[in-house]
Amino acid sequence: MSQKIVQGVPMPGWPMRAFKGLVLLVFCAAVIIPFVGVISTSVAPNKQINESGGLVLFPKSVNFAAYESLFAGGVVTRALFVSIFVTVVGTLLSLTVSCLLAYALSRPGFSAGRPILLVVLFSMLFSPGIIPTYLVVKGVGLLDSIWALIVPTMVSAFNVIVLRAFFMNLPNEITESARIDGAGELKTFGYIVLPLSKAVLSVIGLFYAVAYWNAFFSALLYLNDSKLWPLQLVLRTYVINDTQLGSAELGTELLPPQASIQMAILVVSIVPILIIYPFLQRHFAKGVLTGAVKG
Amino acid sequence: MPVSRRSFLGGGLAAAAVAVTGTPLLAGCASDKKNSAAANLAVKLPTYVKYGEIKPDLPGTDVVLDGFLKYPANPVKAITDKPGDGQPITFMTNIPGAIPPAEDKNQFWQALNDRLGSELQISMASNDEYPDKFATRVAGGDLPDIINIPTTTVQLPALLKAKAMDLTEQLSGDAVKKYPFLANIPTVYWKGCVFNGGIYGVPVPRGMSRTTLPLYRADLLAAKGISNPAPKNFEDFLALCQEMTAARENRWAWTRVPLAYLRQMADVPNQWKEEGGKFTSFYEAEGNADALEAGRKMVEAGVINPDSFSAKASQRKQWFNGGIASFDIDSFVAWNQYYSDNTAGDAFSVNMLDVPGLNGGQAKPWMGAALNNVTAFSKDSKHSVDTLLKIANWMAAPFGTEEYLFRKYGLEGRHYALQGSDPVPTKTGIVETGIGTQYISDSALALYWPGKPDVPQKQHAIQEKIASRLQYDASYGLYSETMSKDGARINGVLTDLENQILQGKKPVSDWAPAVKTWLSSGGEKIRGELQDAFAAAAGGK
Repeated sequence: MSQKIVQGVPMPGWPMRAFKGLVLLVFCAAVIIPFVGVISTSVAPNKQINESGGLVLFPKSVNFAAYESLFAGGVVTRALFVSIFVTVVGTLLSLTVSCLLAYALSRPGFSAGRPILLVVLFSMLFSPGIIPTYLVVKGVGLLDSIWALIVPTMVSAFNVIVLRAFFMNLPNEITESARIDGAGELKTFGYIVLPLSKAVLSVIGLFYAVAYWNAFFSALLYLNDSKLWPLQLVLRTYVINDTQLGSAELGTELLPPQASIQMAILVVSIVPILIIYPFLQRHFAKGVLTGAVKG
Repeated sequence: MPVSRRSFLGGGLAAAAVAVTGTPLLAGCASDKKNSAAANLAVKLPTYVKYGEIKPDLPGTDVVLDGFLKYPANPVKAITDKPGDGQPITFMTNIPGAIPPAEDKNQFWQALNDRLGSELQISMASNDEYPDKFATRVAGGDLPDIINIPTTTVQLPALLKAKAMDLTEQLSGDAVKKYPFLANIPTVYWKGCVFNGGIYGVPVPRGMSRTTLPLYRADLLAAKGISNPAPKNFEDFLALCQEMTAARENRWAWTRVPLAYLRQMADVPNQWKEEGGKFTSFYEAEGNADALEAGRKMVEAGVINPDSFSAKASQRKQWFNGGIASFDIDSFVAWNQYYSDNTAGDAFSVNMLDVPGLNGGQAKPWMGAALNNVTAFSKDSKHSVDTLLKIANWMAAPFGTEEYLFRKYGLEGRHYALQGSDPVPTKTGIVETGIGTQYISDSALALYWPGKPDVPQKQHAIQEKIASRLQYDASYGLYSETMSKDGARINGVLTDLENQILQGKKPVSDWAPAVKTWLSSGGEKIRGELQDAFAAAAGGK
């Protein structure tokens, strides 16, 4: 039997292809089934969840009580807006400040560049710890302010280093010709460097956005007023306390079971990042590689 | 030795406290420890004056809780004046459930502020994250007026001395009568609030309501023809478990290995035992080997849900509610919660097992931990100590009062519906009332379930049955610095070993050497400190 050749590559026989297909199917199932389980459990009826021991793959009926319960009272909705604000504003500010710092550090003629770079690197190796950071945040009057979620983590040394490496790899001739045409540093940066850096900006932006989206610990420490809590911290109280509501021992109408609430939380917290990811994915590989190879 | 975030924070706390307050927390702690124990005993505890306006249907004792078959139809309004001073009062606490709606969207919270006469600003954290938040705020010198202090806090006496108000003058002896509902808290609970020779906090009492024994699904047992399970010894107990197991039908007797129960059967003491001034840890008791062996037998016999070692509490509760398991080991509070979560319909029925000896006879159940937490008032608070105590007094109004009804159930219509005189919480009620006020102060729990008088009856019956045999933790009220600093870490090693032995990965014979290691890595020191504290206290008599 002659082997089939496609684009110069010999195709394996059907048993091999079937085997590969099977392996792929198993891997796909390993990824998809838990996800289906999460979504199914979040909409399954209480009785079925209890009787199945916690995880349901095929719900007998669909109800959105867990989602209704999550969004009732406005706690989760409000936290969602806080998270969106912190993520959007924080990412923009972080990108602005990090780019400006990284660009300055990447300029060969900048005499203070090396000491400043050392300071940046130092913060990567030795983080200040929880209590000193708390004291600083308190000292500058950021306690109980939404800016406490943004300002202390605004600059990530790692991201600055990646950005600096990218800027250093841009051809010098381009910035020099801009200078010859009369552009100052800011103009060169704004009109020449940034447009050429879309790939790295989208990756670093994603890093910042994911970090802001997932951050909860600074909110726990710095925000006493729970109405400023971001989504992740609110959702954690459902997951971590492992009991749904504090006073349920008093007796009540039936609430959705903890399992479906937890699964609904997973869906709520995953969805936004899942939506953003495909739009940035095309820049992703390029941006990471550019920053990573040379530095 | 791995350093966890928590132990790191604990260390950071002490260091930062020095930096911030200029007072080393450790200073003087070792030197005045003995004096402190004697001084603590010298403190005249608040006089217990039982509030007499409420007559329970099932009267309790100082150990057995009062039971109520229905909520009194016309609850007594016990406090006429608003306790607050008009200024906002800050409070920091953990909360046991999901985060409730913030004050501006929470009608219960707003009504509470109105009744208190002061805005209560609450800073919350989940149970798990509270120690981090607490340690950071202590170190940051940023404490609220009212502080929920976990009893396991490291260097608790020194912390209280540095940061909290001394309440001795206001509460000691008959002085407490000014706050009738604080006086209604039995004296034993105040013992846990005495440090540095003074009363430094208000108790949030638990005790009997936290006593933990096997809960069983009476309806499932009845379906098998078992109406009153009362195993006479371990053999009987195992047979009962086997009867309730049908692994092929996805049914097991137990949600997890009830090791604490097996230890009680094997006559292991409750935490620490004291005899003639000598303390013995429950880890050292001979009965441990028998209890572990019994646990192994249960695992081998297949009567435990095979996923039990990795399951979280919520999952175990689902097994119990779904009938996948017929037994779970938990407290009287959990007993009520099972009725909240019930999806099995009206037939659903829970009851509690008594403790037989491993080889027959009656064993001694362990009394639950006395306190949930101590509530202290910050030295830096701008409110008068009287205002803060009045708030605590308001929060301790007992079952049957109008204050209790509001505090636990909220406002009629929005937070609960009346069925007869019983308040049945609505979903909104459950969500909005969970703001953690029960940790400012609380009355002893009452046995009650709206609309189901058989629940308190069963609870009261088992409490009466076990009350005279209860074993108490001899270390309660005695401070050991090593226990507070290293207890969780060194105990964790033994807990891991227990699990490995139960799963058959290690032999029972590994237990004794591990306990020796436990003793040398801190256990012996804890014993010494407890004995010293006990002796100093006894000497002070």
